[in-house]
Amino acid sequence: MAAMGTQMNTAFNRLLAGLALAVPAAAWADPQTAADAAVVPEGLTLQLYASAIPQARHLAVKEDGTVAVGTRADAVHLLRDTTGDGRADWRHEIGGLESPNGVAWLGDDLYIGETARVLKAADVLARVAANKPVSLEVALDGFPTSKHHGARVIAFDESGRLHISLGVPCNICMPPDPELTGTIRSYDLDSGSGYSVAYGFRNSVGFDWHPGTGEMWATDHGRDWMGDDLPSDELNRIREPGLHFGYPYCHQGDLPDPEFDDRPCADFEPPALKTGPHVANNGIHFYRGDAIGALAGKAFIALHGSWNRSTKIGYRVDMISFTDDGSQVSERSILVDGWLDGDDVLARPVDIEQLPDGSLLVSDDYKGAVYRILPLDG
Amino acid sequence: MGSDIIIKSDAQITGIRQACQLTVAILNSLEDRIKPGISTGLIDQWCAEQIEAAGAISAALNYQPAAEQKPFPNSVCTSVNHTICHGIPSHEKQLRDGDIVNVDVTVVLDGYYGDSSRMYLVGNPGTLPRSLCTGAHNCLMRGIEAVVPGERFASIGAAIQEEADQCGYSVVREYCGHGTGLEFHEPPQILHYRNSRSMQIIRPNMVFTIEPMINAGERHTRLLADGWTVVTKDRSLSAQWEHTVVVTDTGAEILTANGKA
Repeated sequence: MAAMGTQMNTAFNRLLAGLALAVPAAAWADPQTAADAAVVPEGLTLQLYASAIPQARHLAVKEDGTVAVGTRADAVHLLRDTTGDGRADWRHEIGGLESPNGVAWLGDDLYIGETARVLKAADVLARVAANKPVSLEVALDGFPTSKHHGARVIAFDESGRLHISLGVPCNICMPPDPELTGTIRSYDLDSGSGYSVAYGFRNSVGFDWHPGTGEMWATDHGRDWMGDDLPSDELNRIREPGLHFGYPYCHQGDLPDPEFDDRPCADFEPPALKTGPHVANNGIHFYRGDAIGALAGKAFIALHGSWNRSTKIGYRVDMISFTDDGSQVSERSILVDGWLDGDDVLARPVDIEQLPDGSLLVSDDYKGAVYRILPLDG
Repeated sequence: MGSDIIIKSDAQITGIRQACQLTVAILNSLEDRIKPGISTGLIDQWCAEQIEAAGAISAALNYQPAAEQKPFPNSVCTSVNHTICHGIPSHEKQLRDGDIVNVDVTVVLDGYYGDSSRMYLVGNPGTLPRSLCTGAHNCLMRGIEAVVPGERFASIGAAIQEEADQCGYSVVREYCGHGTGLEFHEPPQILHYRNSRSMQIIRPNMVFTIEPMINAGERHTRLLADGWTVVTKDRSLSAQWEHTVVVTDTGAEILTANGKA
């Protein structure tokens, strides 16, 4: 007979009742508390940009400053600051979607990545402004339907090819489809044809292109259940198409998998940076321009935070510096800290994007919020 | 919290194993008897007779976890189709061809608890209910495979969730497995879904149930006015298998293993 949450009159019952009540109370506390607790480098500040966005995930910013927020719920949220006060005061919700985690703009069209397909909302802002229903058409279809690692990340490169990350449907397994699982793929939307840019990913939840070299860099989550300190998550540089980054045979570039150990780590491309065990590095963004001098030339990685480590780790945004030729990581520091207080989590950052004025946005699926980082005197 | 989990002695495990094997014998006896036209009340009657004949008592009968709750009125739970768990047997409830039903038996034998449940196909169910029953059993077995001393209880939920996800099924969250053996429900909770709360370490001689409730539709539940019956909110089918396991030095021994299988 299954145990019931609040119906046993024992000490165990009190334990259960506490658990049942703890999650919603913590998860939906005021996101302003997370904004207030955030610690950012001197000269910068962090403010609440938007709230009440359940499971806010990946971000995409249009040239006019309209922000699309993907979610793991059933809606994409469009946001804009129309008054210039640094907070989103206009919003529109596109509902009826299935885990629309990925968002990307191509001109006036918004693309939405669900688990199994990519949808196109053509000319979406004009339609919203004219009070017309948002038109959704299928741009790409046929991706795996598994919900495990099924939150898709999508982005366009400068040539207009759509890229999508396709995680494996498991913790550790042989990718069931060598092209459509454990890969990042590139598509020409006119023809629908695509190819795999990189292999050997467990689940990349963020990628971006170095503005100087044009090379893609992608985060990857390491496997679970090898202990608290292994393996590290990865930041990978895709210096040429077709590289294999090791999963499931090799983790963090030098750690053979105990189950899939029949290929040596030397067969695979090592990560450019080991970002830490269980940190869950998600979105990455390369800073464009130099509107905020302290951020110029850097990249930022959202560390969503561990879910199964005995001591929590992550829950912050890191800042990465590169060598002059952009080929290697030269330094790592913290951009946003203060969201983990002992075992208490205040925010779980997912993605970072840049507004036209050079300020940064950080999404948080724990508080359902988006924060903005800007100069203290801005 | 880890100190709350009882490490059983070998003598206690021997007693718990005997109680568990009584549940197996009872569930085995139903295999050929559950068919279209019989009532869930009759299933309860059959089980009650065997429990009494074995000199045991039903842990479910008159179970009253809170003063304000009605005692459970029967010896076993019978959960049909979209009922997730804790279905109340009734002579008015006749099984029909194509139904699926879970029978959940918990006995107390010589002071030790044994807890197990199983799905039964009534007549000739269609592909969906059959697949769900198979998938739910796979979930249970994946969860049991994840019982490794030194690992965390969260690995059980992660394995079950992974299996369910791959089949497109959902995992019920409101009800969980539990420690057992000396009491009906002991710590820890065994959460059947991916979670970061079950951080206690699995250790040898712990005894607990794993009993994932797997829905064909959404995971959400609804408690009926009788105070016991839990159904899927979207009325989708639900299936559940349950074993009591003891942690060994290397993995898990299923105390409610069916010797026939």
